[in-house]
Formats: sequence, C-alpha cells, structure tokens
Amino acid sequence: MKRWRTKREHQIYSSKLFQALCRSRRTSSSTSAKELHQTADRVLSITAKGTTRWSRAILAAPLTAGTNMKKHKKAKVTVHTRLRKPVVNREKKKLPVVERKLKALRRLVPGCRKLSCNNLLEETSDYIAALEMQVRAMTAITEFLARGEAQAPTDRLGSIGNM
Amino acid sequence: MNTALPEMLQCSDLTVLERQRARLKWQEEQFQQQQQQQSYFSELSCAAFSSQTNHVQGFQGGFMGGASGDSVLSDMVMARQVKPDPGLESPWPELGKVDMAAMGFGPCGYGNGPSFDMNHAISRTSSCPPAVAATKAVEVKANSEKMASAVGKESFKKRKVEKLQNSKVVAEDESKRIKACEDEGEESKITGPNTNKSSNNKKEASGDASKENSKVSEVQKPDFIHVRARRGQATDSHSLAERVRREKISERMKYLQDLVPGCNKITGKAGMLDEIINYVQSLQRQVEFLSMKLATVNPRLDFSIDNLYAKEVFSSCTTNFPTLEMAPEMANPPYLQFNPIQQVVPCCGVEMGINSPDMTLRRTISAPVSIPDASFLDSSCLTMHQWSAMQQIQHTAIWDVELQNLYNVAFDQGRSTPPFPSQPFAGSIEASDLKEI
Repeated sequence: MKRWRTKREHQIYSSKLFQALCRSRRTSSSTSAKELHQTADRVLSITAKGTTRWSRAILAAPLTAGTNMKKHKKAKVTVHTRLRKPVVNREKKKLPVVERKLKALRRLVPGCRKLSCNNLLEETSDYIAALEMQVRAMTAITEFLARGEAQAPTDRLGSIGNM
Repeated sequence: MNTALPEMLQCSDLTVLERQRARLKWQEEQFQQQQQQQSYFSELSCAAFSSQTNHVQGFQGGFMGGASGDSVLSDMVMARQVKPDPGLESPWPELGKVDMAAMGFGPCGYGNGPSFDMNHAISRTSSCPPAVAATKAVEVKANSEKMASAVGKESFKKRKVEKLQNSKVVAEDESKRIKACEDEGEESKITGPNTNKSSNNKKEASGDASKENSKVSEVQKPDFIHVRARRGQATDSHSLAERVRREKISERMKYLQDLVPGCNKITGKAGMLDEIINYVQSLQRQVEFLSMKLATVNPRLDFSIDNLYAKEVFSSCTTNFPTLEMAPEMANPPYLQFNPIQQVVPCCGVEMGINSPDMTLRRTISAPVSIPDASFLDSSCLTMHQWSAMQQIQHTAIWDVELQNLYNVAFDQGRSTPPFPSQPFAGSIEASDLKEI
C-alpha cells in the first residue's frame, strides 16, 4: 500500500502505460475508451506484480469480456402474482447493515467476491491506493499529450519564433 | 483448616509472597498431622530419597526449606523436582535419577534471570499445593506403588485443574504476576501453540513471555498466534479468537480511514464502509472518464512525441531530476555521432536541421540519449534495419525523457527550477534508460 505512493512506482506505471498505448495505437487505429480503460487496468495490475487478488483477477479476465453481459438473474414475472396470496415477505429481516455494505464493496473490487471481511478490507486499501496512482498517472499523460497537441501545429512551423 | 488455604490461595488480595508463606505453613501443619519424620528438611537440596513417602515429604520439606532459607532457590529446586515427574514418570527405584535430574536442574536454573525463575517457581509452587493435597489424601490410603502414578499425574492434574476451574483466577494471577514483573499486561505474542490451549500455555508462556516480551517475532510454530488475555476479560479460547479478529478488522478500518479523505469524523463500520464504497466508485468513474479523454486526445502519438519532448525540456515547472554528473566532453562526441544518424531519421531530422540555440541545446541533450544506442549498434555500418532499430530505440529513449517530465509534472507542480538543467537531465535520462528498458 505504501508502494503506490512512491515516485518510482508512478514512473514505472506511466512508462509502461505509455508504451502500451503506443503499441495499441500502432496495431489498431481504433481508440475506444473501453479498450483504453482495459489497457490501463491491465498495466496497473502488471505493476502490482501479482501480489494482490484484484490484480490477478484483472489479468485473468478475458480481453473481450466487456461485451458479454453478466448473467444477472432477472426476476421472473408471472401473470398470476397478483392472484396469489401475498406472501408475507415484508417481515423478512434484511442482512445486517454492515454485511450489505460489504457485499456492495465485494462487487466493486475485482476478484474479491468471496473474501472474508478482513481480507476484503486489506484488498480494498491496496486497490484504492493503486486507483489513486492510476488517476494521477493518467491525468499527467492526458495533460501532457493535450499540451503537446496544442503546441504541435505552432511548433512545426515557427519554432524559432516561439523560442 | 484444610479448606482455608485453597480459599486463601484463590483470594487475589494476597501478594505472591504472602500466599507462598501461607502455603508453607499449611504444608507444615499437614505434615505434622501425618507425623512424618522431619529430618529430611535440611537435606532437601541434595537429598537422596530412599522411600516413596520421603519423596512426598521432600515436597513439603522443600516448601519448608523455602520458608526458612533461601526461598527462591529452594523453591526453584522443588519446582525442578516437580517438573521432571511427568516427563520421567519413572518407577520409584529410579528416584535417585529424578533427584539427580533435579540437581542438574538446580544449577542450570541459576543461570537464568531471576525474574524468569521467580515466574517459573511461582507457577510451579502455586499449582503444587492442591495437587500435593490430593496426593496426601491418596497417600494415607493408597499403596506406595500408587504414589508413582499419582505423582506422575499430579502435574497433569495441576494443569487440568488450572484449566477447568481456576482459569479466571489463573488469568488474574498471571496478569498480576506479569504486571509485577513487567509493565505490560496485554500483548499478543506469536510464540507457541494455538489459542485452544492458551490457558494451559499461558502458564508456560508466563515464564517465556518475560524473556521474549520484546521478541515478538520469535516463532516456534509459525502458524499459530499466541494471545494473552487482558485483565478483566474473558479467557476462553473463543472470545480470545474473536477479539483477535475484531482487532484485526478495526486495524484495517483505521488504515482505510487514513486512505479515504474526509473520514476523520466518521465512526462506526457502517459509515466508514459507505465512505469507502463511495470513494472507490468515484475513483473508478474518474479512471473511466480519463480513459475516454485519453482516447480523444490521442490521435497520433508517434508524431507528437518529438515536439512534446522538446517542449518539456524547457518547461520550468517540471524538473526535479536526480542529479548525475556528466562531463561536458561526453556530450560532444555523441553529438558528432548523432548528427549523421539524425539526418536519416525523418522526424528528428526536421528539428535537427534547424539552427537555433534551442535546437543546439536539444541536440546536446538528446546526444547523451544516444550513448546507449550507440553501444548497441556499430555506427560505422548502418543498414536500413539498424536505422529503424535505432529509430525505435531513440523513440523509446525520447519517451523516457518525456516521461521523466511527466512524472515531474504530476509530482512537483509548482516547483520552479533553472530552465536548462542539461547535464543533470542527461544523467537522469541515462539512468532511466538503464533502469526501465
């Protein structure tokens, strides 16, 4: 968790991300946000060096899994629900509050669907630190490229004058 | 009278010494009631017990000797004598061996620190009397052969008794004892067997703990965590394990509280979890948004690289490079090498051809970049393949240069540095090259 704060990790991630972007740029001209997102996540997981569950889960996930919808079980609505006697489910106790939130957290952190509370919290802290670093690096890169882009036309023509 | 002492023992108000003394007096009374010989008292420390009853008398005599003489040492000897019994469980003819062992224990026991012995002796002596009382009752009726088993079992009984009945008292005793000897009464240590036997092992660990208080990492069986019950808390294994688990969870939550901004005021797991969930969701949304932005901003990376890096060289807000000394002479020969190569490379060549102070500077700066490249390829015979390879390498080198700037943009915003730190810049480039490629 401490490691995500170091400059060195930031450098490593940025350089790898940059190279990956160039590579993907060269191979396929399409620049979908989803693809980019996936690439960025995978590079982040690689930087994690496989020590955390979420990183392994991200790397293990298939590359084209974005389009496959998950098998959410829809509630089967039958016609006769109203005719049936209303089942007294309102008294059903919901899971304890903390448990519900833990469930939600499990859905957010990749690869942590069946972790205990203890390990889940550990994974979450590492995941948060890694995400923060990812945000920092990606802002820097976008800013960098945007700045370069803006200055590119002027540079080509009148670099002498500008400098 | 017989029940007075056990009650007194269980009373926690007595100090250890008082308890010991009371015990000894009780022993004496018991002894006198049995009308045993008293000549063995003085010979305890180097006794050779010939009969079974004498052995038991020896116990009492030991306590007596403890009262009269140097209590700690004699008790220690006695403790040692008690200790080998379960281990040996030898028939009576081997009594001499036991005593020899006890003798051996005695001297080696002296070598330890006093507190350790005190603990150990106390742990033994505190548990002896009930067992001894039991054996006394047995002895009157039973045969001499039965004594061996009884004595052998006595130490087991002592442990069982402690575990079943006096767990709370023992815990209190221990915690008090520990407090007497050390400062802390609550530690979780990683030493020996698991928490199921914790009340049993607490006794053994009480001596160990005083030695190993600081050596938390000393692991005998690395899979188990040894936990001490705090004063006034429940001591059964389940609640101990639960407490450990709860403490772990609260520790992790505290760490997360530091990580997630704005969580200082929030207490309680539910609120914290809410904040954590919100924060993770917001981070994920940010990443998604940034990836979208990157996708749009990103038309032609190859093209814009040189321009970008050139700009970065002069941007004043970026630099916080690690400084490596580069001799100025080094810049020139690579510069000479670089020049012909540069003419081949189209995108670099556009800039290189232009004469301007910035360009010169750029060249000198990019020159050291080519040093590792030149080392790979023989510049005298450059084929097309090598040129493209050089190009690639230069590109990556250049990217690293840019990325250096990137990092510093991210990290050191607002720091102003001298505009043309060419030499340290070059040094850092080389360093990053060697490190990251």
